[in-house]
Amino acid sequence: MTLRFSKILRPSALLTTLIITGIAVAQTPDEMLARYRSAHHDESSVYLQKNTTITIRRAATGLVADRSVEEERITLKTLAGQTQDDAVYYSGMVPLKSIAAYTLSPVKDKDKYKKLEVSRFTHKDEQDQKIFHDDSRSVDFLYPGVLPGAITHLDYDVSYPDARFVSGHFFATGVPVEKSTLTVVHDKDVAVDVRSFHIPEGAMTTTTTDKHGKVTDTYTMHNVPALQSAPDAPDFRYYAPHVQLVVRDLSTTNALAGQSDLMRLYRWYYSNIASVSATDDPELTAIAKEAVKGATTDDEKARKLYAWVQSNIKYVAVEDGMNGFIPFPAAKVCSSRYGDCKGMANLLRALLVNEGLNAHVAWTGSRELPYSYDDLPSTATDDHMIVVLCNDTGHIFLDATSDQCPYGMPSFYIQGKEVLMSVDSDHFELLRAPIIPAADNAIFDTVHVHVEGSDLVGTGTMHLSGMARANMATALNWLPKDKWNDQLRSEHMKFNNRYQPDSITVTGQEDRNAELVMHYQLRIPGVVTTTGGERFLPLDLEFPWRDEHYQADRKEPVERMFGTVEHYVTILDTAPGVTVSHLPAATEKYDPLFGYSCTYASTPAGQVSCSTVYTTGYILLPADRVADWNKVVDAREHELNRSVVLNIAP
Amino acid sequence: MKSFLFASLLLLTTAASAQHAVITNYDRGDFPAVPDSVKATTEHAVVLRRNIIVDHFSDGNNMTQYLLMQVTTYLKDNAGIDQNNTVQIGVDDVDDVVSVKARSISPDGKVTELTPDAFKKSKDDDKQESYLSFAYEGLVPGSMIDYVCVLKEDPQLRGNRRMLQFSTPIVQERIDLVGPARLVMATKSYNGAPEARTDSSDETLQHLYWELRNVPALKDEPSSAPEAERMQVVYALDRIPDMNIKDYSGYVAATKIYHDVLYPVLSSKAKKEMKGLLKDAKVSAAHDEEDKVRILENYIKGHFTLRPAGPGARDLEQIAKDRTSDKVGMDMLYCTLLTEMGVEHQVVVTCDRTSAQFDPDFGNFYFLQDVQLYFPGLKKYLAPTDFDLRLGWIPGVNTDCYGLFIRNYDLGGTVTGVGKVQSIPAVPDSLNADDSYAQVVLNDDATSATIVAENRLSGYFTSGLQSYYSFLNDDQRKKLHEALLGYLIDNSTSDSVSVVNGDGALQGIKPLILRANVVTSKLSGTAGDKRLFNIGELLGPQTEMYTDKERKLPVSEDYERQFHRELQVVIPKGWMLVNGADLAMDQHLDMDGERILQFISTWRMDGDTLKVNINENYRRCQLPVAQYEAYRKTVNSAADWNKLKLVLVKD
Repeated sequence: MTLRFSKILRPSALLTTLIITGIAVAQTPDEMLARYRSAHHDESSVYLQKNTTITIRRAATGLVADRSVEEERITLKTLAGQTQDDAVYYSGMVPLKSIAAYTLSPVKDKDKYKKLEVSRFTHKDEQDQKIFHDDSRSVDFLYPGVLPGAITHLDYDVSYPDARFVSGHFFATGVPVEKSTLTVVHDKDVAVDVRSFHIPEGAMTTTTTDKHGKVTDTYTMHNVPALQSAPDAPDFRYYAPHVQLVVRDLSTTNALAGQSDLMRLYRWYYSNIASVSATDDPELTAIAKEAVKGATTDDEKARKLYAWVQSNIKYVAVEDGMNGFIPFPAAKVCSSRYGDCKGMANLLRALLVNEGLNAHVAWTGSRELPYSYDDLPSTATDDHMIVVLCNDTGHIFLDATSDQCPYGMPSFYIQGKEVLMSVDSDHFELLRAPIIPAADNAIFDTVHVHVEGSDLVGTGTMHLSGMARANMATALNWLPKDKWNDQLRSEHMKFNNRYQPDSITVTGQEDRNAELVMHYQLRIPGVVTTTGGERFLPLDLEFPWRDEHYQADRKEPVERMFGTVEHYVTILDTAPGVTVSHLPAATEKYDPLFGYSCTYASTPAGQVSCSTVYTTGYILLPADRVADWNKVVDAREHELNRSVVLNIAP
Repeated sequence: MKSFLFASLLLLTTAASAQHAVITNYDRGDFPAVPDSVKATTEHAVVLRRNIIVDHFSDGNNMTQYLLMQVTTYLKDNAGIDQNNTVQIGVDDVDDVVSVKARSISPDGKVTELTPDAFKKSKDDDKQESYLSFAYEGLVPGSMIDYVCVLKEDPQLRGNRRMLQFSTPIVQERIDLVGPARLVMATKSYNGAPEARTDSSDETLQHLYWELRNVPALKDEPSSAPEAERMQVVYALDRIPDMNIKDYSGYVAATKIYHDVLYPVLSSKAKKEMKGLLKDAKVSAAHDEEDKVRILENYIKGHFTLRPAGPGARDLEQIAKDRTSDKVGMDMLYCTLLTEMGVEHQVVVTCDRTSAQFDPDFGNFYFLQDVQLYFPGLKKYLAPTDFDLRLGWIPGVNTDCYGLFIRNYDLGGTVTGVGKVQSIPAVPDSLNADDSYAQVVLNDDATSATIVAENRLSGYFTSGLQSYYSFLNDDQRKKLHEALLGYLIDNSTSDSVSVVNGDGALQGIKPLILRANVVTSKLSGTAGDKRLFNIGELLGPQTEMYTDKERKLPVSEDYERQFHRELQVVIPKGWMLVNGADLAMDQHLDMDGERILQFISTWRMDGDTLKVNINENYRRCQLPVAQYEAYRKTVNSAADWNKLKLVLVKD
């Protein structure tokens, strides 16, 4: 933001000036502090305003956009040592144009504020764990003189060289917001469709003015409550009140003006892949031929080619500038042996096409993004690329970045998401990646145990399939073998943390579509109590929902990676002369989304068994179902305190 | 430490030039042969070759350091590729990346050399998070990767360290330290690292080197300090004979530099600002010296914040206005204000003992990383830049080790610093307590319990809690209670939680007390017609060291600690406890007539009330490997007790 804009022209800046002046005239710092502490008694700060102004302009290159952000926050409490820092993020695609910030710091005993400018802004490249290299940057700064009652003020401007990249506005933050406004300014031959998400009925007011050919729309919320953090909550976009924008160029020179939003988006996306879709590279042809050796059907060929990419191409994302949108050519990805999702998808498609299969690249959103293309036909809806294979039975969704994903299953982070499949320059298909049923992500675990002193000792076998298999296989591949015990122990702690698995062997590691089978030995010290000719011991050993009792009044849904059905069987071989005195009763609780059953049995041969089945059939549990979930979890947890009682021969 | 090294190095320089020939003539060589032992390894990757050359050179008017690094790694499998196919080299303090090359070779002998555009350098105005990154191409299992880079940096002549051992094995390793012969370096090797050898082939140079083969991996273990225990060498410029300079990097030189920086000559404006701060802090209301220090500490920690180094961050006048400074500026602020108040104090400079063991016998600046304060009159320490600690507590990793103590000495009106290396004691376990008290009344059929519990935290256990509690909003407090007392209040039919002394000003003076009243059935179980009560869970979750692997590293904990518990359970009429004897445990370690470790639990029936006392104490932060088993057993005794159940039968 230029000085001219901030001080003179921009409406929101004028508003701010008035507010500050108003503060200075009408209320002393102490009065302001008292007022906001009274209204927000235990909050550390409150946004007085949080405004965004988006201006869509026509330039020689097409529609461009400017975003001006203005935030003003009053500090109500200062935490010992807490740095009053802030940061603004930008990139090569969304460059920062200007930034300014200051503190209005209360002057003790003088009933006025002193303005302290932020003098130092530190720019740096941002590192993202998932992305090897891009052009994300941040500018960090520190507000001076922040005391209780201080008001910090931030103005910054970024620009979008292409208005189609413009993002929306979030009304809420981690602290309450007194007033938050999005202002959108555009010409009459530009339509800006503002789509709202998670905004309660009547909570947002809108205005529209039309002056001198410029349309100004405002969207305002007052007294927006703070967003809370909650364990296992999905991305904040699933519940935070916000709006996103769809920009349409209605001018007569725009050939796409009459087409649907999604078609316009698709045509743009297609232009990003059109020049890198070549499949006729000799190395690709040779690799495809070698990889499918022995395959006699198209299905076998597809399985082998998918597995080849999963095994040989590593996920390394280089996404600076338009590399975030245009895939690297398949031949380049193949020779480098690495790529990002787009490059890996491009390569997989090329290999499949080389073998005569009907494969297409497709855009989709990862789990972090809550939108559908219908809700929001814009770049905010997707962040991922996969391959869709079309065959006689329908569509198979192949995510090359998921190196342990079974063939035929979408990776867990795109299950249930819309998929925009490219057909040709003028056609696409809108599909939906299936959610794999919980029963297909199964764990069958059986342990045979006997009593040694006060310990339970024995052997176990665990079969894992679907996503449960993929998860475990990924971990085992990554870890050295001497850490496998720790992995099994942390994922499947039996009864308590004295549990010691040992001597693990694994089969099925190489075939992503086979069950992963883990054989192991186990010991659980000190769980058998012997007193007065009786022996008490637990056989109900696994509780996968440990630590999944949630605060009942949470506002956020609960997210899990994938649904599962988990079967745990414990078979106790009793010693000769030992008889069963008591077995806990069978129990079960079922809800359409989750539930369990637990049964005990004994045989004349002296075996006692406990069989428990846990069904966790959701990936996103609505907040209003959390109380029901807690009831089932709590009931199950209480049942774990039940023991089998054996009579010991004198 | 680097921030203190502003003493001019001009006097050390001779003439402008580039690197020494040992770097300019360096040949990265071919890929080495992969030994059969490496091919058979269970590791995903093994370092075959690691060569480091540190070249101190006079470059124009300043001393410069050129650092050459070559690392060649064998990638056994896909996990080895996943973990090594991208490389990120930190270049925070690097003036220039002089050169960098990287290549790989596949098992069939195909060499892929990375092109210059493959090397990405991130930019950071503050040089705090800068990296040189690249990704190898064409990797398959069995490939080798190799990079060599030369970086131009500020030299760390007054003290630096080179690690020789890591968490992955190394087949061949060599470190060269090269510099002008007139600058005589002193070195010391630690943890079994070989002594430096001398290469005399060029008499104009002092050329030292360390060479090793088959360096085993030394991996992290629970309650250990692997970085401090791995093979390493420390070096520093010791003397310049032609200028008659001796002990250039010793603790005497450090004393002067630290004192000069931390006690600056103040401008009249700065003096006025300092007086203003003391007035604002109301230190004049203090009733004794300790109160003075506490008032000052609470004032600074409540009104000032830390920021990265930069303009104004060490200017006391500016700091007073902005209420923010970097770490050195904060140390200066304390020293200046304490001097102004007339409070006797000493500066203590030490290092994190889990990273490096301060060596009192080898004076150099590498061990001078962290600044703390000591008050001889109070016999207490203060952490100027740790905002969640208060008088009496400095970071535990800065205790139970040596430090350089610098006291003020008035030399006829000129105050100078006098340094002495002394040990910094650990805070005794009795002052770092996590004590629990619980009264339990079981209902008539022993299927539910009413519990009144109190948890009293002091010392390090209050860090990050007591000074923050009043800052939290209701929701955050609720989550904190859940985190601290979830083992009692989760899944209960009714509960109330209250907190006493949740105020930073009381930290180190009064314990933080959490109280909970709970009615719950989650601790109650059945075994046929018997009743079980999980009394062990009243202790809350316990650390465990059940995994039994051969121990290689000594025990290292941040601080000594105490857990005292008093539990009472009222047994309902008609029921009888049958396994009280299980509650008694005794695991302890005595050394030289002193009780070092203990977990001792006792029980007795007082009418219908079971009374349990548990004393668990850890009176050493560090123990040799030989005592590890006793330490493990003590930790596990608490974890075992945590699983105990009372068995009740009908009377």
